[in-house]
Amino acid sequence: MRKSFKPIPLAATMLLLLLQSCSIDEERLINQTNSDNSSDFPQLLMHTEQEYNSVDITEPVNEAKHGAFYSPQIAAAVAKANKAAGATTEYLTMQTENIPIWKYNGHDQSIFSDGTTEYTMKFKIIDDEEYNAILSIAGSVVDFDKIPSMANYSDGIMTLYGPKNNILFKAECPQPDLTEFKDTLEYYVNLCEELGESPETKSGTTDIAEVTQRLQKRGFDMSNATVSLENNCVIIQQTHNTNSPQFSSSQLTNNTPVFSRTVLSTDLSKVFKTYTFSGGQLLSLSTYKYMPDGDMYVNITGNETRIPLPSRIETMQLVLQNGIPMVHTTITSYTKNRITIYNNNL
Amino acid sequence: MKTIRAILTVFLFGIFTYNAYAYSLPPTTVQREDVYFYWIHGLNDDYAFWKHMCNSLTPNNGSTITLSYNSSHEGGAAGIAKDLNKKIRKDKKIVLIGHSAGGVIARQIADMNDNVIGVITVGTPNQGAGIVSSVESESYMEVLNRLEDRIRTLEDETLNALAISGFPFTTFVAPIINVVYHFTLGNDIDDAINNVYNELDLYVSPFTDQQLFWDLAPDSHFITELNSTDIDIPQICIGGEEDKWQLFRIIGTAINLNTIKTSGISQGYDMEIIDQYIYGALNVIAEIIHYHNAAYDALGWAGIIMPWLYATREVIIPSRKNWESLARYINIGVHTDWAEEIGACHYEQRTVRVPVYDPEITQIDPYNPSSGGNGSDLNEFCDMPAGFIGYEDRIETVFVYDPHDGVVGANTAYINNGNIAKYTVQGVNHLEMGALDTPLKNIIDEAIDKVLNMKKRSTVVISGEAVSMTGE
Repeated sequence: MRKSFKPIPLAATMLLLLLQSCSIDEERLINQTNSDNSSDFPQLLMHTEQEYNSVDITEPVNEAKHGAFYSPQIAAAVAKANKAAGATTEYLTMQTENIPIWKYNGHDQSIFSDGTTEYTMKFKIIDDEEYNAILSIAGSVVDFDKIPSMANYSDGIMTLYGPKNNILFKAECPQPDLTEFKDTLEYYVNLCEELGESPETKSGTTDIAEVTQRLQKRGFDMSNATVSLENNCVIIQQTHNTNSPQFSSSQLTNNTPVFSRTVLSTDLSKVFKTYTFSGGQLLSLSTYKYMPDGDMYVNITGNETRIPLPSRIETMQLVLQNGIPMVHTTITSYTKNRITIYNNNL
Repeated sequence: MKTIRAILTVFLFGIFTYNAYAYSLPPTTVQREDVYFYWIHGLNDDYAFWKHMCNSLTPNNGSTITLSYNSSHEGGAAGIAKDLNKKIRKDKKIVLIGHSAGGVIARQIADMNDNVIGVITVGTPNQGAGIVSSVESESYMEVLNRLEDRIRTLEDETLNALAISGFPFTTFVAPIINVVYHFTLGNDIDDAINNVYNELDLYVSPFTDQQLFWDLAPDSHFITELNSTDIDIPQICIGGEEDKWQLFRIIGTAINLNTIKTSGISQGYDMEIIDQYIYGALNVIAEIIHYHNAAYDALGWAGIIMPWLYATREVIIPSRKNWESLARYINIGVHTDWAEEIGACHYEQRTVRVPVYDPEITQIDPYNPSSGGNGSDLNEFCDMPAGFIGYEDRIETVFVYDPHDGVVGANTAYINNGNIAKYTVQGVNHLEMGALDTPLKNIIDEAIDKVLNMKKRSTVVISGEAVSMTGE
């Protein structure tokens, strides 16, 4: 027999009723920056505002384009895959859903002191015509008026909207309990305060001992790591547990040690590049860029700390797709990237 | 000698008789007023199906009759045909017009009723419907099974991606994992999958209880017998160009869902349930993507103070991307997989010649080969845009509609023997069949004229909106 789509567990229903009884909707906005923790109304703890364009590209490893990944091991795997497929050309056959498309994304989330959250996500394919031209090969031409373009979660209700703000779907979703996350924020803010200085205003150093000390003050475990200075950058190299699930999914590690290399500014406020390797093979490479004097930052109110956030992140990862080595590239280019933590409400 | 003469006489008489019979047949030229038109609906429809169409095309003076039958008739197509034949008047000539299963029933009636002077079948699986075989083998479930496998794999990947161990990672990510696991993956995906399975069962089960449905299988006894019988009257088969997988359209994509909603065919379907499993699934995926973003962001700002966190947070990206791909698949791709699974289409790789241009060159100099010229004003490239430097072969993936599709596509709808004319027209599908403003109305109108005036084994030429037509 049919099952209802989203059965709400009793506990979640009670939580919903409790939340509704709190009338958190409008009062929440009014009181969101209220520093009086004795208030009955949930306070705003963190607000994230992001707008960015992004694209995902998955393509076979190409020596010219992905030179860093093109090891003899990968070259042999590519040749073997091509031979097995009887490939005579370099043309790529890809599934429609993997055709790279530039998208606009908007993300706005609030987390409140009672562990509740609300958020809005917006998504839009930037070049409709090009997209349709590509999709015509699949016998589908998309009417973009019918594609979901916004998701909003508020007061336990998730709503999907079409591009003209028409409601496509509405369903009750249990409120997550993010009270643990509140503890996380508190830990983080306390750490910032303990450091006693804003990374942004802190001066860089070329003294390796000082860099190491700064990292240790932040809780960095040096037992499996080395820290060095190269080209006016701090390099952190760590060995990771290969059984960690984040690496096992790549299927490329073959139980060989995985280690990462992180390149930072000497004041430790900005990361420039991260690499992960397994057995000498590059698995992933991320590049971060920052806007000079940009307004992309984490702002911790109360102690007025501002920490820069990147304006562009490009991540390339080696993945196996049907046994063929591919590089999956994700480019995220932010036009807005701001996170505000309301320290007074913690 | 007498014997030889006798044999010769019999032989010649036989030839004469045969030819006389063949050539003495008059065209079945009759007026519409002199004919009873019986309109027969398809599987699980009723008499109302043809109501508007038949009243607008044939005189409503008592000679236009819509027949109704119970699709669950135990005797299947043959039993229904036998019962309907008893209802047909015997005092005039008869033309039968059948839609879908009604078409093969009409042909069966024609075989047992000498008053029938013509049959028009519309969107009828005269060669049997592949979709029945697909239901029999349950191959149509394969798409769903693959989808389920894919979702399970994504679940594992998601939890692996988010379960980044080691303090203070757990502090940041654990609450988010809890949310994803318990509220999103744990319950909703299961519900979504179960909903689709259940809905598919609900959709298919009424058919599977009916002998008429199984009689429509390409290798069924009924279809085999029917097609081995040469019914010597004019017949016209109108095939469809669209809606080749109507049964499965309903569990197709978000795009199709909206088409269905805005058309007249949503009647009879539980749109609320369909809404839930298509948009509901997209809803769940939106939640999942949100929590990926939340985890990614959390590790990002935490990494500013604890920079060693950066090294592993990128593992979240492919997991998020896979969910986005799934959403795109549900939005636009599922129905092509259904169609492929039930034999309505397939993907082909073809080599195509495409022109190649040098973007640096904006003007053709006919005397400069590198700009596209070959030294003469009359060169072969003179009609090509500037910068044209030749052709190259590329391999493209093409979506091909199979002639033997699952429901009523071109070849499936045709009869391979007998006196038939074949039309393939737009509008023969469950989306548009009821509407009067489609080419189908004109084609049926023309087909009625033709069937009333056709000589047996004559060639029929049809103009108008027909996409393609052949005849004998």
